[in-house]
Amino acid sequence: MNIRFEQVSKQFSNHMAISDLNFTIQDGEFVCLLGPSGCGKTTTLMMLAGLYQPTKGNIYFGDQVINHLEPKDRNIGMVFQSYALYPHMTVRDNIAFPLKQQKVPKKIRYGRAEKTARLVRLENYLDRKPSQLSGGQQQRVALARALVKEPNLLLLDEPMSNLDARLKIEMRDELRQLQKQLKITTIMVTHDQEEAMAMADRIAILDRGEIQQFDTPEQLFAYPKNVFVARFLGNPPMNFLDAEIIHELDGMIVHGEGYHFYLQKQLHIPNKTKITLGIRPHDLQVVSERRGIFSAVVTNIEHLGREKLLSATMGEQPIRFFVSNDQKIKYGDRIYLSPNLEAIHIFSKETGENLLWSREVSYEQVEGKTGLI
Amino acid sequence: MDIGSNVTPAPKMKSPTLLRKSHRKIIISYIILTFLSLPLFFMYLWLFLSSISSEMVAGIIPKQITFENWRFLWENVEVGSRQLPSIWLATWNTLLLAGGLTIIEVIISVMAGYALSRMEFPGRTFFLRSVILLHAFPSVALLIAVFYVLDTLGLIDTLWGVMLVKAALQIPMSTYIIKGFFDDVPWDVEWSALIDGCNRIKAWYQVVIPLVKPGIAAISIFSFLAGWSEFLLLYTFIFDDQNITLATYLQKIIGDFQMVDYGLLTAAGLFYMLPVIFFFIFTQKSLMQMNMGGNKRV
Repeated sequence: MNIRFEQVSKQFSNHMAISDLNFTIQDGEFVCLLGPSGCGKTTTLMMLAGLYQPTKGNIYFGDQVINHLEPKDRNIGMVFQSYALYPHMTVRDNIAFPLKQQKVPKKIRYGRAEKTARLVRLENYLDRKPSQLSGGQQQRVALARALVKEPNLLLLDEPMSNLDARLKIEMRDELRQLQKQLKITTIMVTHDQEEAMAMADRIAILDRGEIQQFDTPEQLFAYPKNVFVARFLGNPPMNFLDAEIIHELDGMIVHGEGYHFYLQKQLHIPNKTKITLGIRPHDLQVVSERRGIFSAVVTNIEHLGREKLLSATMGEQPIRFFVSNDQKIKYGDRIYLSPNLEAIHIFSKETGENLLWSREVSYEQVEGKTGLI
Repeated sequence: MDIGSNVTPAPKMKSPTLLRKSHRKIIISYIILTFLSLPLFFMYLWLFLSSISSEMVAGIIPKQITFENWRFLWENVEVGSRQLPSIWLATWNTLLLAGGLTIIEVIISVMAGYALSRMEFPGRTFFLRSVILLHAFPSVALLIAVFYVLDTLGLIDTLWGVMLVKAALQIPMSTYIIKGFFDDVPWDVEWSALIDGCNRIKAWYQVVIPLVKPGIAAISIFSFLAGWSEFLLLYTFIFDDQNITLATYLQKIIGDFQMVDYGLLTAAGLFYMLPVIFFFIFTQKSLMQMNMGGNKRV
């Protein structure tokens, strides 16, 4: 079942939670809605669940507009952040509850509940009450309850946020496998970028009620559409430096405080455009003074096991990068860095759009008359 | 106090000094509490003793044990020249009143409490505030007005009339209490029920109501006890001896104060109180769960 948002907006009494959302989710896809808190991702999920109704626009399940369809008629399963188990029922009754509402005879519904419980390895806990289970087990109950009626759509609202780190990684795998095995279209809300990158086929990054970019994890990481996406994805985050583009006879120069280098690509942007230069920590290398583009003073060293994460300052601006363990660098050393010029990102200072990513775009649009798509 | 033992890293045994100190605290509180509860205890003791003795020495020591005072259990007593109706009729009427009151009150306040806690409707805040105001309103001030209303409705001198009036006076408070319980039920659980295929009403009684059971227990107990101990409304609105309850029965024993039979009065009083005491002992756990923090979303 395809899911399509068409110009969907949601207004709460005092603010606009979602504005003009447009996207399509393919059948069987695992999509993450990722964004900081208050970005509208949970609102989007609630509209899919039918707990909120869009103020404007249409949501389609397949060809059918479902804006005003009751949650119970949507054939969806949902796992809440708090799991929302029914504390007065046993695990068996919890899982069988959706079937009971469909008036499935007792014997059949308990049979199906047990089968689903086996799927999430809960078969030994069927007679317990939710309060007698660990957090991970409770989450599995919630998952089984969502899956038991074989929904067309599975909604997950930050399902892992209450689990400890190790269990989280385990559950990620499990959930992902289960989803592929059952081929259920799944939409997960999360604020944890790692989780989203690990699990999703595609990620929609939301900010202030708008989709910033909707793409595969690889694409998002390699070609962030704007500063927000670039900043949000990647850990440690991308380094951002203020600079300016200067046109020269033999090419374009990126000119910043205490550094400059030739740009390898040709950009259609005016002379002296203010830009934000983005470089991922992995794309910086410590080099000799002669070959260095940035000069910085080391302010902190973190040992991560396989490598070291260094923080340094260039004048006022902080910059972070990785070095291998055998490089002897001390606190306070002056070092010289060279970026991988293939992997740098150039964002418009004014609009935050990635200028390399949309390099086909003409001058006028970059200047913000129409804005980017 | 031995401070050293407090900071030693080995926690294998609690310092005996500390232990003894906490013990001492408990003992002192028990002594104070015992001392303060003694008058109450003697009150009950006196009530019991005087109900089974014909005369008391020094006001508290029974001289002779007798069951004469309990004669109301097997015969209709006479006070002055009047014969009182059977105590069993009064007991039955009291049960009827308290039970009916409980049923009316619980049904209405559970529904009202849910609406106030969970639904958006114009005037909700105003309604909630006026509920508190209604509770604080002195019901005595309403007696005469209510008399006219009951009279017009033909409910004067009936237990039904008193039941309705009492329910009206009680519902604000129990609504407020049960609203607090509904406030504590997470939205997620209710939403979850909606997604799992319930409509709002089904979700309400299959998922939400079971979660506020302690609250329902609490308001049931409260309203039952309130009905059991009601006196003023009965005294004002009921004249027929057929509608006598235990409270008015006691009042009739006192009669005109000239020649009160204290033995009979204490025995009947004890009879009236016993169910309440047992009830309280068995239900105090539910009462203690009560959450008076019903002031969310005011």
